[in-house]
Amino acid sequence: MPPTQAVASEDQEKLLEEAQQVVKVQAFQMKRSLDKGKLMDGLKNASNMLGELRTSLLSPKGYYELYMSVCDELRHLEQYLLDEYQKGHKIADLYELVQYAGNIVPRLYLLITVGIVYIKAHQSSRKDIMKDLVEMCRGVQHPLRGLFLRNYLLQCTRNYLPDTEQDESDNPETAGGNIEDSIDFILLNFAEMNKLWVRMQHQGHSRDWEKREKERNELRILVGTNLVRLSQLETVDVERYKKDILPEVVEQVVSCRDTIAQEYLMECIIQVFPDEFHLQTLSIFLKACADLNTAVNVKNIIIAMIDRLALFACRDDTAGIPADLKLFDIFSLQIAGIIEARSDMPTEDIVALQVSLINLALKCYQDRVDYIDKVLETTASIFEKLKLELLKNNTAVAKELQRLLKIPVDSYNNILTLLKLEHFVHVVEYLDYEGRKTISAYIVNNAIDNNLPVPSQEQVDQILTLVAPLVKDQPDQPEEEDPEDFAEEQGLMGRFINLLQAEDADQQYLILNTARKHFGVGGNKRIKYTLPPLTFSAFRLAFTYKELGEEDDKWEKKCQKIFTFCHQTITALIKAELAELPLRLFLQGALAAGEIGFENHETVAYEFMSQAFSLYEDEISDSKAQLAAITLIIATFERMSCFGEENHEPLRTQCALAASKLLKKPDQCRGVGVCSHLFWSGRSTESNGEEIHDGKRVAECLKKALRIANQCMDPTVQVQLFVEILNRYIYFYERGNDQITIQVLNQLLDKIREDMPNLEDNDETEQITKHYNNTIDHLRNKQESAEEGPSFEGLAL
Amino acid sequence: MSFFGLGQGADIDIALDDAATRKQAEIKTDDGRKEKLYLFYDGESLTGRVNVTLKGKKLEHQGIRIEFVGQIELYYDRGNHHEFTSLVKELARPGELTQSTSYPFEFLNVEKPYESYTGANVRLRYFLRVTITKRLTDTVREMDLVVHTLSHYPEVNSSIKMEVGIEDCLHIEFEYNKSKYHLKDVIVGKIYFLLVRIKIKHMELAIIKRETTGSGPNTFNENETIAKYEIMDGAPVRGESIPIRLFLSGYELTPTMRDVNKKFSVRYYLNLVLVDEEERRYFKQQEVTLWRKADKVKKPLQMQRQQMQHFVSPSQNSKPEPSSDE
Amino acid sequence: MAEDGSTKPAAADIDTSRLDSKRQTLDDAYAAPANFLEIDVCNHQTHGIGNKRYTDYEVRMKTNLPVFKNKESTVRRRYSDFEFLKQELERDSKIVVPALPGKALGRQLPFLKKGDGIFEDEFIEQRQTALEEFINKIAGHPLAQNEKSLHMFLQDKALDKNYVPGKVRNT
Repeated sequence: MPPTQAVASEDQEKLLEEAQQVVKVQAFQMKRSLDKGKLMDGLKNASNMLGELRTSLLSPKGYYELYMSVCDELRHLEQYLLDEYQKGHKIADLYELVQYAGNIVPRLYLLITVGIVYIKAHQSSRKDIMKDLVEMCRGVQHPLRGLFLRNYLLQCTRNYLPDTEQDESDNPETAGGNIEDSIDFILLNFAEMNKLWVRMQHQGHSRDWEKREKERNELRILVGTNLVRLSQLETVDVERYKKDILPEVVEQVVSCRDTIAQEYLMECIIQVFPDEFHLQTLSIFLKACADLNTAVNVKNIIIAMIDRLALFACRDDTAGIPADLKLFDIFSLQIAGIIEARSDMPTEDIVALQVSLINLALKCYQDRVDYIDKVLETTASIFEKLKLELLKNNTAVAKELQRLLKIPVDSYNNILTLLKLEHFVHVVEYLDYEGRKTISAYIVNNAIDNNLPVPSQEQVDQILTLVAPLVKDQPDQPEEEDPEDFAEEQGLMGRFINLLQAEDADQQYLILNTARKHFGVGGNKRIKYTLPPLTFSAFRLAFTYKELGEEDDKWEKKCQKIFTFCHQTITALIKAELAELPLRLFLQGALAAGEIGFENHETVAYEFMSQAFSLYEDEISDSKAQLAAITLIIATFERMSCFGEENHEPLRTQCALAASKLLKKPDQCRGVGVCSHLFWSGRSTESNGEEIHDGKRVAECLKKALRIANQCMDPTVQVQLFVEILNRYIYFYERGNDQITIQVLNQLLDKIREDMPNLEDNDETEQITKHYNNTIDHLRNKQESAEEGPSFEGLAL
Repeated sequence: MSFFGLGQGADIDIALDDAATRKQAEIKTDDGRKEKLYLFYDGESLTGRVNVTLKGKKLEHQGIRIEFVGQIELYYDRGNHHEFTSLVKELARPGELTQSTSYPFEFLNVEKPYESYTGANVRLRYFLRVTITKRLTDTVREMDLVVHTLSHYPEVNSSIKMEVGIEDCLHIEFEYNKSKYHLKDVIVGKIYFLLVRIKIKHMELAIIKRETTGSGPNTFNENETIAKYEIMDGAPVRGESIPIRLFLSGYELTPTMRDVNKKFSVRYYLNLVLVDEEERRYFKQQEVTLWRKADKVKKPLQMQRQQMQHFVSPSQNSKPEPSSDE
Repeated sequence: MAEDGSTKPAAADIDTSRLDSKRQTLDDAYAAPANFLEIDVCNHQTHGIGNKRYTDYEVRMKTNLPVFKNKESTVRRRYSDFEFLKQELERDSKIVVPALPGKALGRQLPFLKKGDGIFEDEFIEQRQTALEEFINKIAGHPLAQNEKSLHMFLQDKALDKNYVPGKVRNT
């Protein structure tokens, strides 16, 4: 059987136990011999104990445990030898004596132990002994045994490596070598250990390779300890690190061509050496990254370095990044080199690197928007070189790219700063529709959350170009979209429009025009969300001009233009086969025009009203909608006072006509009822802003309503209408319409009282009864109170 | 001894003049034990006294003499001793001793050309022999001495450097810093691997002593492994260089002896052995010359050295395969 | 430090002499060992019926030794093929060929055999392990590696017992 044969794990435990037992027994005897002053016997026991470390049967884990036990025991020997020396016994011969040990593994452990004692006793010999030990260890080529032996060497020499510039042989503190000797010593040990470690993968049957690799990975700390030692040398400054240490270390790392070793050791370099060193040696480090195995996750290594330095830059207790150190440029350049050198690097990793670059720039150079833009530019140009197609959403690359794009959004929290990134949009363009839409929504949401106005036309133009997937159809857009999502995203755009706010009105006008151009091409589905807020924004602007009237003598002309703009915009909605929405907007416009009262405002208001009527007549066919629309028109019209009689009269009449032409009788009834108010509280320029109080026309309307109600077949609806009409009568009676008498009220009350009991007992009836009772209560109150106003005497309750 | 003499016996004692100060050295006896004997070098004089102590009243004798003898004993040829040196001094003419008597003796500037040696098949010894010749049985007393032959530093002592191997399987280059080592010397060397296509498990360096006796068809070779010293554990790859440092003073070595008095030779070889995972052994032997240089050894250390190498020589748990290749 | 020859002892009483050696190149240091050779004997199968019944084994070899023409090969061999190889090597090479697992004659005698005789699974598994040990020992032997019989045994699909014996030089 080859000695590297794997041994089953239950046997492992047994083997380890047996070995530990031998160690225990031999160690006990060693200590007893030493206590009796029998050095030779003690050494013999130590050698027997160390013989256990010659095993090939233990797994790395088992071997490690055994090694730890042995090391513990060797400390006793070391202490004994030191004590002997201090008692004045000569120990020089021991260095030769232990070399008679026939087996190399025990021999070298003893040699190291004695060597260290000798160094402690005669420091001037330090340099030669160190060199001797590290060279003699070459005899152990077995990877596992060699690794542990050399680890023992490292542990033993830990506190005794020369750490001064000069070797001053007359100074007991610094004699026996200098820092260079220590560096050479550790570097050699490191190289040898790394070699053994890498070679370990070949020990044993290929079928166990994976398990072996796992075990090998667990031993990495043994190799890494060399780097820790190097980092603990106080005399090592940046220059020395740059000249003597890092190049040597990375040469080994690169040359070993082993993925496990490369990933671990690069990480190790980052972690064990100080930031100040890294800052001055980035190029060396990053160049090495480019040369690592293709399987090595270089991205993680570089990101770890960036993260570490970014953290350093943010720390309060350090001087930060030296001004003359172009940290960003170095990373940027080297990363580009790495990407170039590693043609098979996954695109998502490339992007991840750019992500880390952006993070670095944001953490270390907060003001340098150009750095971020540079990263974006680089990213775009890499993609271009790679001839990338649109990146499918949810792929690793797309996700990473979205991460990249979101960083500046989140970090700036300012869409205007984001606009300074010229190449942002070029990168966004590599995302597919979903991706672009996600990013666009992210940007817009961020803008809304931060509630910062967008004050210029150019910026609006840029933003709407940037978030185009939310603004207009895209060539790669899918046929069907989730209507809820769509509504949500377009609602978002509607809210965003509120942020388009210039500091002066003229600028705002330009903004609206620009926005209009963008949103105008959004298609029928989108404009219903975007054009209304834009129209409202325009109305607001008109009000602003009104306020500016004194400063701006052209304000009326400008208002005119705004309303033209609004007219066109609303008309666009009509073309999108919308009706109610533009109708409302026209009404809103008419109201606004009336209120602002600029030159020609009556014409504008009339035009808007008449547009509303056209829509009502041509586009609204559903009876419920018709009722709602006419009610709205009437209500709007009622509130307006800008019209002269010449315009007011036809509008009024049109309203009444329209109401009476409603298809369903209850609708007609209600429409006509509503219309009655026009003749009471309507205002025209002739009435000087006073309500016209045409009592007769009011009474006619109500009478007509009653007539229509009488024509209803459904008794419930009929009673309901009667109650509603009763309320209108009461309303006008209370306001002093002399055409309405107590008698009229009594008649109506009688009619209701007569019909009510015949109604079926159901929810509706209950509602109606309630309404009626409330009305009666009201009247009773009126009757009993001593308020001024028309008398309710004679009302039969 | 003195059965027939009936009270005619005498004790003989040889006392060297410088017994108190003369160094002693260990040597193996022919039955394998070790004894300490007075140490002499070539050309040194031997002076002392022979004390004859009577056991009875008188001793009649045919003469008393002392001899200094150097002889080679071949074990397979018992009783046939080849004396290469024999010096005789008469101490007393035939006569009668009536009291214990002391005789001074002196061998001046005695040539002692060879080193004392106790081997597997041969022994080279020096001794003083006092003989009281009598009619029936002589009374004899012998005193063994040890002779060390000292050499000067060799004028030429080049290193041994050689590339060896098995074609397409194993190429190594070995180097020993010298070809001639004194007995307290250190062998410093290295093994450089040029090609490793076998699965090496470990490598050791052995010191082999070859004692050759006889000549022609009756030549006997006796090989003894004096030291077995593991110098590498595990398998190296190309370009690996393995250091060797082997201290000699801990081992029982003699100077190399070539064709001593045409009777025997003792030669030493460094045997470099590579053992593969199937316990096949690949080796290369190289003769080295050992010589003795005058030195002062701290005795305790010398003892410890020997102790050390006794308890830690490689365990012999593997039987070498009969077939070996070079 | 001296370029060649031994370095001087350090302290007067400590000997740290060594010979300097040329530095190993990094390519060599980290190269995969050049001694890779791995042979599995596995997947035993029993074929035929009655007198013609026999078991064969898959002999699968992986190596990086240049002496072998193929770096990977798989053949099927039966016990008698192993015997043939042993006999050829004993005749043509100077090596001591290790023993094969026993012929298990007892299992083949009708009046002695229990169960399925030499076709018992347990027996075959044991034999398979022993054959694997045998062939690994032989194939790693530098002198055996020169024998045509070994190469044919490991790498030729069919074992031609009428082959012309000879030496292989393949580097």
